[in-house]
Amino acid sequence: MLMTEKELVKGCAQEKRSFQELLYQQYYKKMFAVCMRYGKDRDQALDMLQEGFIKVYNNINSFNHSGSLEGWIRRIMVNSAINLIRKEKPTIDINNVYEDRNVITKETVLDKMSADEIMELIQKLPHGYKTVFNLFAIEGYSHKEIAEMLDIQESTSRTQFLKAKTALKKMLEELKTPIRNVE
Amino acid sequence: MLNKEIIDKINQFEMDPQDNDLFGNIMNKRKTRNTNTGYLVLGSIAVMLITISLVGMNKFWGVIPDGYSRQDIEMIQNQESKNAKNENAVQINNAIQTKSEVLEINKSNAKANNALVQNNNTVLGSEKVSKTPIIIKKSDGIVVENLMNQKTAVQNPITNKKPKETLALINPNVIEKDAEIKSTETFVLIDATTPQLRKIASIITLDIEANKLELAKVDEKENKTAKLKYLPREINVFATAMYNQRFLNGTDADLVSDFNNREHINSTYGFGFSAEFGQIKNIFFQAGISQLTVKQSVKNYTRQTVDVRTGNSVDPGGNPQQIVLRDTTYLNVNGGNSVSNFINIPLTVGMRWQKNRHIFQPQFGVITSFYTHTKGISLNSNAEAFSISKKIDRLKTISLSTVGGFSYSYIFANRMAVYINPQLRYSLTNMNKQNTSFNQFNSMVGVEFGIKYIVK
Repeated sequence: MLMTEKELVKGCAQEKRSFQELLYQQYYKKMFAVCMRYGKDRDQALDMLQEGFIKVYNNINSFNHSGSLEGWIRRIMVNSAINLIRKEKPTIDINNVYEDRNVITKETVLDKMSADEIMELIQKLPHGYKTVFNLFAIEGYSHKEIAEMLDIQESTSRTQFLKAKTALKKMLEELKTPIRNVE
Repeated sequence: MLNKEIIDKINQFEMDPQDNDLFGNIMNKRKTRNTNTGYLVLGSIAVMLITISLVGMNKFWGVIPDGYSRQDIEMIQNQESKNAKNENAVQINNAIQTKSEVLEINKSNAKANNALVQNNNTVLGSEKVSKTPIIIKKSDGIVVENLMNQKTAVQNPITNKKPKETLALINPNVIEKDAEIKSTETFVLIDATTPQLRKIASIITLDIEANKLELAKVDEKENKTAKLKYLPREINVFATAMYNQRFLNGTDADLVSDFNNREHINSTYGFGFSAEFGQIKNIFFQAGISQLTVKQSVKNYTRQTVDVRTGNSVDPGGNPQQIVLRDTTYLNVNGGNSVSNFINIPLTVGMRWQKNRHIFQPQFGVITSFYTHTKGISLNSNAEAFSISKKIDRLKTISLSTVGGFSYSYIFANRMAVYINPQLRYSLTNMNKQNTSFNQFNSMVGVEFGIKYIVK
């Protein structure tokens, strides 16, 4: 039976377990990938995913269908991830400010990479940089918003992003054969 | 910034956590958390009620039931020591003594040939009185008889407020009844069980200027007491044991029959506390919170399944024909026990009568029940046994029932009483959800017993 998004949301709001499971089945893989981008390891990503889905089920009544359900769930997942990261008090290194703003990620290289490879690269980023990189480069938050979310200085967010890009560049260079061919 | 294609690629990326129990874990974690939140809310309400009760108790702790606190008496004692140097000394003693002891004091005072105004505070419901004798010497020139026929409204010298009612300065009934002292000249007892008459006694015997401070303090205390009238006057801590009968009705008689035959309620018990508020004359309101546990058992039973299929046969004429075949199989199903928990919030209204140490309180009202969870082996909507550790789907979270009872309390110590409250409860609302094919109403007969603390 084909079910519309509205019916799915309504069923979840009515606490029908079959609908809740359907929603889970529909999104858990994508959301786990989101969590893996933020978590320092699989266990932390699983915690983020669990927290995120609990919030989704608890707040599904507030979803007003003005945007996509997937986007709404993704935002909840990101917020859950951020909350977990904030609880851990991550050590964002603000002393070692990287000043070289000319460092640019080789996006053309990234274009040629598969999603698997990009994900692998992002996951390899140091934990502190990874959060800012995800929020800024992928989710599209501004540095000001990121600063508020992570309770850090806006300049720190910018620095972390630059560091992430540098680290990415370094990693891309290390992936010698395929990347050099592309370049 | 990454370009859109890369972002889309990343956003559409999927990873399998490879954990088959993950959904179940999420739901369990969510349920535990929500249940904990529920308990937290209920706990907060309970803590709030206890706090209110404790504040009430603190305000009234150590108060002699006629309205004077130990603090008041200490204050008067201080005044006594100040006035002790004067010839018109005021002797005040805050010790609680028996009536006979007070009479002895009265008699000894009589021998001393002093004019005596005795402030006699009778404690209701006990054989003890608090004596606060106030002695006026003959030389004071107060003619007590003149006061006996006078009505007075003594004005507060600080606030210039007049009391609401006009009272006799001297109550001759008290002289005869409590003191048994016959005198036309020197001995009278003032019935000073009301604050107004205490003031009168105070004003007669003490210098008004010297008492301004005390009067102001007494007024302040009375004002505070008036503000605290909404605090509970009694706190009950209780346990409950009930005989619980379940009534099921629905269109599917077989299903109802299966339920009745397979599942039985073994015991129902609980505990909690309640507080009585705002007595208006004899009427009071009671609110509380309690936990109720219902233990049930599912008997072992046999489940019959009929498998219907078609087969081919040949009639006596040799013609082939289709026939319906039914294969009946029997499966033994093991039963078990389950425990269901409810949080009850009773709200009742009742009447209160007290005679000496005995308190009688008929009351009735409504109980709001919050179903929390069931654990063990129970029956599902099809009357089949299943293992459960959460809410049974067919049961509503909130249901209402009516309650009526008659409470008897015995005061065994100052402010403390034990009580027993036989009561009857009956469901006002269907305990099953609307989509269930049958209705469930429960009837309970049982007793609530506990300890009562009389705050004021």
